[in-house]
Amino acid sequence: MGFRRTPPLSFEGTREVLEEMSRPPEDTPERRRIMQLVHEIEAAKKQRKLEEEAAAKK
Amino acid sequence: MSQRIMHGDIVVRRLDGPPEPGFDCGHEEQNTFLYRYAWTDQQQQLSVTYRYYVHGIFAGFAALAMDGLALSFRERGVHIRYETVGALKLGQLGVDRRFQGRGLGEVIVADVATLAREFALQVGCRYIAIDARPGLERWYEALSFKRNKLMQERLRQFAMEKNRDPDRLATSMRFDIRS
Repeated sequence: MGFRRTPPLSFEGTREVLEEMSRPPEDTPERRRIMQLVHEIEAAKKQRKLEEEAAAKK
Repeated sequence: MSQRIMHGDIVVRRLDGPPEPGFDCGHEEQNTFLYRYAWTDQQQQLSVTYRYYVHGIFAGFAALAMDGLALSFRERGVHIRYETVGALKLGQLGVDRRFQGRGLGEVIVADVATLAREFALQVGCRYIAIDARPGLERWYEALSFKRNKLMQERLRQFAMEKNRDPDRLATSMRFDIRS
């Protein structure tokens, strides 16, 4: 890994990326799993923020 | 086997000075980045490093920067008119040896995705971009990252023309952050 510039997705002129970006993300078990984790972390962050705001008001 | 790490076990802290000693992920590139470059890069606003603590122990880190995935002319169309699509670069990710194999890397990637999704409310951002170290491609694929295949093939050809080992190239990959 590193911070070199990310190269273009494709120079070949396929429309793979365009088509991918024009539709919702693929629904696969792997993706459902990682997105469930993402949603759980988002919910936890939101809850923590609400608690901090409530504590600040006291 | 050690207990799997849950996101509730973790505290995330933005780097606020040179990182404390003692972290070792077993990979020279990541260790060197952390101890030699992370703080100076952050001071220069080139990247920001987040530390992940498990039960108070510095267990992992992720370094982030803005990025863009360039599209060729023929990849654009009615829906995608941009030359470059906004992305958040996960430039470095390290998990301390003591915590490897317990799911911490996955939690870090998910946490980075939450950051990208927060940014996406403010500025255009569609992907997390990475350059996966050789051998880690399948790990990222299991998290639904996709290889930027065709460009990678060009990079491999270029490496072979220059008598470099193409199997040592990092693999450019992307993760769509939309729900």
